[in-house]
Amino acid sequence: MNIFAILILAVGTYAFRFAGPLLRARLAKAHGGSAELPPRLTELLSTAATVLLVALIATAALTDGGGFAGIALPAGVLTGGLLAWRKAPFVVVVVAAAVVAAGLRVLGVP
Amino acid sequence: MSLAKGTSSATDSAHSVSTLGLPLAASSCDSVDLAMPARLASSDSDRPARSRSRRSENAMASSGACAMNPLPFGLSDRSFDLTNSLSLFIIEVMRSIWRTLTPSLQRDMLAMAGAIAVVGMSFGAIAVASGLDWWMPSALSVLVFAGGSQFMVVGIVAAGGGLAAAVVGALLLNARHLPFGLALGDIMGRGKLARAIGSHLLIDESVAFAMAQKEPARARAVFWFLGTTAFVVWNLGTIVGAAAGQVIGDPDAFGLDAAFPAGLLALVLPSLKNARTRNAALLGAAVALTTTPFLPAGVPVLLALVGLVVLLPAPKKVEVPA
Repeated sequence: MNIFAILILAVGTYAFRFAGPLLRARLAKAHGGSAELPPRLTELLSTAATVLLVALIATAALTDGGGFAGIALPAGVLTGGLLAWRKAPFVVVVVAAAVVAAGLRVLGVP
Repeated sequence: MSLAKGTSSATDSAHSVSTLGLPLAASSCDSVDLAMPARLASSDSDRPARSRSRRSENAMASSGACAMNPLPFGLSDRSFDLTNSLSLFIIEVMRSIWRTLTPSLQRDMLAMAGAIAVVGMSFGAIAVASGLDWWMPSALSVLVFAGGSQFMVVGIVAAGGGLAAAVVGALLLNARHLPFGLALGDIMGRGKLARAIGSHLLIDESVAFAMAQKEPARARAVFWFLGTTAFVVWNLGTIVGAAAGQVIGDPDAFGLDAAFPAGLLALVLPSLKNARTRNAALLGAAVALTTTPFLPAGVPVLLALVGLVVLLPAPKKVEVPA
């Protein structure tokens, strides 16, 4: 590891982050110059974010380093998901997921 | 935050903002509207103090207190041109946050921040244990501020992998921030400064939390509150972890690897009530999961975007009689 690697990663990551809002402004300009995007495009973009988040959740919950994540992790996430579905408070969801995953690991479940 | 101090001129304008009675929505709207012609008529050769106060009034004019203005608070480009821009900006953000956030929302975000702090500690500890110099984990946490990619570079380097491969892999993992920013759009604010700073605070958690809000003003407050809180605790955690080293255990032992997906799931669940969104997300997740064994980390999540095909209008040819 050296400072150049850190800087390249930092600049590249920031570029990804900054490009989103910038592109959105360009898109708005292309659609007649108003600050708002057409509703259909807005819907598409926010659906895209939800799709990415769900894919992130699925891969984080079920896979680990390209392979199957085991039992404890998906069980914890599933518990949290069920609680969220039953309208449990956010804190309860997060803590329950952690407790179930950690508890199963203490019991020797992978 | 030392940045909030600014210059003496910035302090002046900050004072003028607070004495003009911003919290009272009706009165501040009225006064701004009445003041508008006078302000427009004033020339560029005004005394500096006058132009400063004009700028602060501009910021107020576009503030969320005025119902007719589309911008929830003063983040237009011209409001933030010179020395007082940053302090004005921070004041406006803080005001908006305290006005808008409910106690339960604050509690939820602090819970998320607590988990982020613990993972930050483990990052600091693991990074130092992997042989990084003391300043490197903090440099990564300040400048990159993307947990997954930070763990990734440290992990690849510790495993003897090439530095270039580690950086490329981490950048691939972070590429999702582009579509996130595209979707988040104006939630962070439209001004140059809001975009410049807000972009760095764009993380999975701040995106998920902000996009789960219905009101734009609340979404903005949530984005900034969680973004700045996460940045602070992630960096404090990194320092503590790097200093404490081996004392910090594996965060997986506490089940934190389950806590994050579960928290994000709770945030996206309401938007999955929409059938089209749900179908797109399920198809995307299936694509991401099936490609994960074969592709570098980060790419499967991006590939999930093919799930958006379900949003396309159905071609009329496929009218199969029942």
